[in-house]
Amino acid sequence: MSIISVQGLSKSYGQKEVLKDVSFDLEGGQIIGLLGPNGCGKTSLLKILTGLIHDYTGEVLIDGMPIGVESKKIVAFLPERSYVARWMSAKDAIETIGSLFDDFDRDKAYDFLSRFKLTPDMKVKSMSKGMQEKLLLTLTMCRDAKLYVMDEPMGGVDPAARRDIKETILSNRPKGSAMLISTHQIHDLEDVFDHALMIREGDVIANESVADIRKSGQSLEEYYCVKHGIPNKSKSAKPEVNQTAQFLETLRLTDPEEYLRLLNAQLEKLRLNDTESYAQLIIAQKEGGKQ
Amino acid sequence: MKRLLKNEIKSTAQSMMGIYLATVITLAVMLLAQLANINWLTGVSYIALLIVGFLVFFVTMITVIRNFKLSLYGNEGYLSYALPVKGGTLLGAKTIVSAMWMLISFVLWIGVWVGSTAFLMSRLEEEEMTILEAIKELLPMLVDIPGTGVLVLSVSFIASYIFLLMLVFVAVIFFAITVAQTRYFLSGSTIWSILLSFIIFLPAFVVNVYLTNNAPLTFVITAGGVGFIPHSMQDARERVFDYIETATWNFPFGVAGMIFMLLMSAGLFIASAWLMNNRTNVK
Repeated sequence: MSIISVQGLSKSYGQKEVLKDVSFDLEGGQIIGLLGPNGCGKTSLLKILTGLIHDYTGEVLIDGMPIGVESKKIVAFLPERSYVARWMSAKDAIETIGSLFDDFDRDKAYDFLSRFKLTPDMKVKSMSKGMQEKLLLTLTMCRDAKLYVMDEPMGGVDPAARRDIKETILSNRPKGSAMLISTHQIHDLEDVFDHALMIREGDVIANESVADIRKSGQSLEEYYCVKHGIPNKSKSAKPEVNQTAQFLETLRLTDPEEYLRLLNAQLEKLRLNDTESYAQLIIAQKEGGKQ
Repeated sequence: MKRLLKNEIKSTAQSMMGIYLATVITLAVMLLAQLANINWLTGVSYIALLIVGFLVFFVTMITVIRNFKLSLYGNEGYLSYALPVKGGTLLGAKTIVSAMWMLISFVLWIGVWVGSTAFLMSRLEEEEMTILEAIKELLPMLVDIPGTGVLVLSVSFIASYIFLLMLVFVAVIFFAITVAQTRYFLSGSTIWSILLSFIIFLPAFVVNVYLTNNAPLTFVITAGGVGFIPHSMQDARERVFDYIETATWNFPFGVAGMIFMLLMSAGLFIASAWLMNNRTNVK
């Protein structure tokens, strides 16, 4: 069963139609990138999925259920804006969410706080944007949800905070759960996504697995640029790729140990992110060995 | 619901505690000034207490409305609407907690007025008397009411009516704010919610006044007991003896207006809950 099923969804604000008869199905258990430029309808779609917008036409199902009390029980939402009152401390926020959601793990939340170097008595009003984002991530990821919906989780935060957020998302996702992450900063999360749903001016322009995109020889970012008619920056980056290849070849000859270490790291990355390509590589390697 | 109520109380208490604390401090200053026989400070703190007493009432209304708007349609709405509860439950929790604060503030407001005036009387009388004695002296002076029981009943009835009006006012504003979050009012929702509140409340109030005065259903408190009379409030005073022979003193009040306001509030509540489930947008 699809974790998200959308049929003929349209949403307008006055005369402006932000979602135009959109239909798609997304399978559970994967990390889905909801990609598109600002104002393309990403946030409206997420608000509909999480029950913040009710005024739309079309059918939207979460795990087979229409949007309502039951669907909200299995959805954890990280919005773009902080919903925690400014007078609250981190502890107040954890206790509030803990009292409102049965699947919230308080102990895990306090662990997250210390990992993020936040103290429970720290007030929201004294937190930086990055700290607030980490607190919101804590409140979202410490729920045992079936679907995590995140709207620009890395928006407006520094690179170090982005790295922490990314690691937290990857390492704490419950087994079998799905994630729908909206972003227009593809570069930061490209290696995380299993699936990409691209929206442009209210229309779905791509609903593809990232493995299939990569099979076509393109990175997700390149594919996004092609789909959105953006000049492909990756071509100008080719000299860098050539330089990297030259570097690796030199390394293979001069420092085989370091070369192997790098190669293994890349293979491991491939194994985690692109199982199919990895499997093909292993088969090809074995066949090469036999010959 | 229980958990929602707890959280609602916690989040609104922040705003309410400040004004309650101001009341308590002003009251303490007035009592201390009296003990220390500083007459000018007693007078100033008495006036301050009357002002704070009014502010309690005013701040409560503002807080209740502001909290409703921000917690549902401000940033906190991202949490409120993502909770696994129906719109009616969310609205119910907010209404109950709002009513609770309004009741506390209302009682405090009346308490401050009665208490401080009695206190002042106790100071002005030639013979020293306690505040309780002063209240006993004060009340019969306000109205010529036969007996404490009738007096308490009449005051309770008037207080209930004022409280009901406050609740209706809040129900109208909650409804207007909710309507302003639907498709056609979304741009300029704050202005729309103010306009809609007046558009609904003013005609409703006129209907209420008309029904109170003219509908043939009057509740009457008399020296000989209480009862309902099937006459308009204007006629009830003359016809009351037909129903209660010992009604030497009577206080009639048309209740059709109250019933209308209660039904209207219930209707607005149901309509708001439906809109919250089907038509609203969190910006």
